[in-house]
Amino acid sequence: MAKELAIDTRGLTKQFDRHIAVNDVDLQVASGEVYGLIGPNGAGKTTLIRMLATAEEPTTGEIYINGELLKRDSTNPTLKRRLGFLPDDFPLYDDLTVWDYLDYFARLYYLRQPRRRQRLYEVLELVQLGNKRNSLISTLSRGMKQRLSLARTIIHEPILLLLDEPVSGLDPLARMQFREIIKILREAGMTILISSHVLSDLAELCTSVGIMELGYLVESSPLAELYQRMSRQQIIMSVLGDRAPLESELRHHPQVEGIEYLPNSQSLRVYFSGTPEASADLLRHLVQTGIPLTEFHCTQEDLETIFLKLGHKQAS
Amino acid sequence: MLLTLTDRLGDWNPQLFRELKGRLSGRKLLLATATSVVVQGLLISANSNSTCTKYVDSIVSRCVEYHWEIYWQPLFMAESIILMLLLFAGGVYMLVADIVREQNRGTLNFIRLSPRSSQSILLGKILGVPFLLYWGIALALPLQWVAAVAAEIDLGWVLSCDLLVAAAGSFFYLLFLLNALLLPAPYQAIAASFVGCWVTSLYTGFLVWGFDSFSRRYIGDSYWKWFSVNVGQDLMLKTIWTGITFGVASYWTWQALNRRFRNPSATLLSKGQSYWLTASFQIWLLGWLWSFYAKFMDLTELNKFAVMLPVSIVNLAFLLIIVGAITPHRQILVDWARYLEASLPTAKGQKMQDLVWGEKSPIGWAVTINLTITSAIWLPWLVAQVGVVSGGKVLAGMVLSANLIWMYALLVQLFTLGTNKFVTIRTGVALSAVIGLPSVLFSVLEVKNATLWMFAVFGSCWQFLPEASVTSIFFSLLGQIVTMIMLDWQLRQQLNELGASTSKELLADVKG
Repeated sequence: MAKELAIDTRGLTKQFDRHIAVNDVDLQVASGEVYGLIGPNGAGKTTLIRMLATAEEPTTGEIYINGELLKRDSTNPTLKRRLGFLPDDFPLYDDLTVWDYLDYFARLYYLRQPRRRQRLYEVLELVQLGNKRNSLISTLSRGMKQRLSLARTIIHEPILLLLDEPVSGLDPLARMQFREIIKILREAGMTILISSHVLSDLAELCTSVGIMELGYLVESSPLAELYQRMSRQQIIMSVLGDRAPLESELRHHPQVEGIEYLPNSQSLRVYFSGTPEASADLLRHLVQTGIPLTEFHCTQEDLETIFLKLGHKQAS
Repeated sequence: MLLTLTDRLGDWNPQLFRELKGRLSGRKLLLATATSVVVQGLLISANSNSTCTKYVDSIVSRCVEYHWEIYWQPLFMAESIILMLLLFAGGVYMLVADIVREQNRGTLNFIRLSPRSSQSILLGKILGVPFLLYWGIALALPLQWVAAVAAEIDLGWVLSCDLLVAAAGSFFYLLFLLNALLLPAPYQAIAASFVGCWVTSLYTGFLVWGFDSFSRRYIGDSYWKWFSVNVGQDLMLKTIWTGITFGVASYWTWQALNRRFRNPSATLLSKGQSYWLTASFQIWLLGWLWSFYAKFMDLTELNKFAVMLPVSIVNLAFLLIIVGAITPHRQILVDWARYLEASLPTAKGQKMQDLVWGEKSPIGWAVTINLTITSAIWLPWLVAQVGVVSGGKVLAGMVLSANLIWMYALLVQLFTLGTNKFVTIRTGVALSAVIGLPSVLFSVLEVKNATLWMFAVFGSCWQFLPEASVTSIFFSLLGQIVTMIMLDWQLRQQLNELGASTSKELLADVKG
């Protein structure tokens, strides 16, 4: 049976004056998925997310959240209780403490005691701000503020989480902490749509990805399928001493499609079209011919390479 | 107990809870209490006098008994004005400064995304942001009432004044909040408080109107009538009438405020709301003129027409406000022209329904309906006043005025379609020029032709109509109708251009 769709858009379009920011997008995201949205700046990712979050009204088209139609000219209070939206800027109330800020938003989302207190402790623990709960927001670091914003976004246990560039401007440690939190939310079964320029993060977190360009959704598929379709198998090999004998052996192998020299003078990247059994045979053959192999590592092209291969440019 | 109460308050209105939480620290509450008490003390001392009644003679003469006299009536007046000033200028300042800060910081957007209604958020702001001010005022109210009792002022009048200050305060708070949402500039708070000072002085005059300071009670004003009700004569009637007036005004401002808060790109009022607002305002306005005509039954026909000039000008101002409130901005019209109109069913009735009631359609039909409502309310009564013979001229006067307002409205709509940054300023300048320039030009060039005046100068018809010939009226109307057709055509053209597909342009470029 087909999985229930958390997001289903039909012909979704947003036009700003003569510029079409989002053009006829049909996006389907199944419940429980982590969907990564990638594309250059100005491709329409933020506009698409803002429309899903009810922060922007579509020019035309329909949005269904968990099968329920998002109504135009309506405040959609029931749907809003199911959505959590973290925009790329996150203004906060500097005069409030962490606890009071979250308590205020919990009340805005109708959380009552004793559940509210319990939920506040839960999210503070999740975003690792438990020890800062009585601190003023103005005293927090950027990474902490970002985590607090995430806590605010999930305080009401939304079933769909929309994150727009959540790690932009964060240092590597803060980024890693943020990534770990998303993984926990993913394991909890939350549907997450996340846009980011950090493709390694998306590759680690997402189950599906979509690529946007000039307002169009030009690619949308499960990550595994995308790898299978677009990613070539590679073998990283290193030898002791001269790599010429290895190169000579490889050139005669029918399943070797190409060789790339790595900056390290003793290593090669080999594009290999064979099965895992064939790569085992290759390894055995190289060892038997006396080549002093120190590394034989099967891998595949990463998301960034696939993205560039598709002809898209990450920078605007 | 208190904790449970606060918690319940927070569940009922989180916004009020948040505002109070930031403001209700013991220190701030103490400061507000102390300020209120000190100001009351200063007021008492400024309105009292002590004279010595007994001296003891020793080396120097020393007073041992004082007679302390408080001038209760001036104390009552001074305190009432100060409280009103604090409420109108201080409260408005606090509210506007808060909403401008939140708007510019971007925090309002998160609140908008929450499932709470805009009514609940705005109510929380209005009750919570100036809470310390309310507290200080509440502490000062007992002295106001003690002063009123001691000065033997009619307590009914005091109660009426307090109620009407509260009613007017609510209206101004909503109005200034709306203004701050429309233009969240940093100077808004200080500007609003200046206007609050001015309103206080005006409103003080209104409240003491009909109050006799010698007998210390309300003696009324028999001239103030609304329809045939003698509103000014009776304190209760004056209170109810003014209260309802502010109540209705607050209701419409509240509607606009909520719409704007929920969706910053929405029009202030829906087309349907504009029809009701126009009807309620016209009935309110007619009530004034009704009593004015009744008072001067012997007005000549010439004067009966001339009286319509100020009414027309008030109506012009009002209907231009309505036009501003229902005119969709450029982007909405682009969307309407490009997608929505095309998606409407082709049946003519449904297209018409969209033009009359739709949130995003152009305003031509809505303005026509508003003008029709206005005419329908005024015409029967006016014809009854001037008689059937002159009734035709009254009708012509209304049509001539309505046509001009319709043209101004379409001009506003055409200007809002522009891409220029200063659309509002440009529209204002163009509108002022179209309304004001013809009369200046005709005066300078000494044009005496009634047809031209009635055709182009708003309000002039009421001066020319009693003497104008049928031909002159006909040609003025004809000129206006031709201009209206041209404006309508121009609007349709522009909408068609905006609605044209972008790919058409691209293909044209390719061909070129």
